[in-house]
Amino acid sequence: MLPEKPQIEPFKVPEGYFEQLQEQILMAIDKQAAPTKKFTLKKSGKFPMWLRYTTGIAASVVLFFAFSHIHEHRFPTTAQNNAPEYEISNNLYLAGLNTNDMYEYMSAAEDFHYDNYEEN
Amino acid sequence: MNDLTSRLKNPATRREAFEELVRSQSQNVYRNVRRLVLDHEDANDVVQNVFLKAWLSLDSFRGDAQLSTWLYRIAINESLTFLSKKKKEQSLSLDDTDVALTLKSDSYFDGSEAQALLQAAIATLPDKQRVVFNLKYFEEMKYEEMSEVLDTSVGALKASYHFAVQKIEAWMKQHE
Repeated sequence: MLPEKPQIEPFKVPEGYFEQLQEQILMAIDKQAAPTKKFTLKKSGKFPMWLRYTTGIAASVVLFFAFSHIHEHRFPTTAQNNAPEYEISNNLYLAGLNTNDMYEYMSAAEDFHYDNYEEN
Repeated sequence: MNDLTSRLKNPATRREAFEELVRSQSQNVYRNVRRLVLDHEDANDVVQNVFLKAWLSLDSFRGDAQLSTWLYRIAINESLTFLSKKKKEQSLSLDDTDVALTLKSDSYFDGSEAQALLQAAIATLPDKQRVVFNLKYFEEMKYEEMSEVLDTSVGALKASYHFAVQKIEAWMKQHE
């Protein structure tokens, strides 16, 4: 048999607890409702917004092509790699020669024949 | 939708209505949470979370259930989450007799030895079964309302309560 249900709640609270609890809860919800500082872009300034966005996009495009060019120059594509002049020029580049020196070298190589190049 | 519910839904009167809800329901919520988590400080933390969650979920409260039912639901979910987290944090689970000893030495527990033993027995039940037992035995909640609170069928709740009573009686007999 279960014991009789207690008439008086056995769990006690400190004096004034519920008044304090209500205040704490309301403070917590007020903190939730308080507007937070938001970062916003300044609309006023020397340059209009449309100009800033356009400049940003243009700069991104330039950077993209610049990186693509550098990437192609340093790491030529597979198709280009198969071309003999790119293999040679890549090796010369790695050896530290500049573009002009590379062309002089390659044109001076009289014994360089495409026919001798074995395709991969 | 009753007056308080419609005032809670209205942004202009929401704050005032929520104050009223806190005033009217905080003791009820506290009592139910305390029965599950047992410790006053833990109950204090959970109750604050309950009302904060209630405030943040006001827009999703459809008003088809009573406010008290809705709050019970949040309170029970928060309590169960707390208990689950506490069990994971504590590498050793409390022995059931520890619960009785802890309660008797707790300055915020004013019950008799029999009541401390009853709480210890209840603490041995699985968490959800504890909830069912507490709502039925202490709150004398009807199964239909409990079904709404716990989103469980009346039949399953009746069975759960029946087995809970059997386990508690067996435990108390063993520890007399």
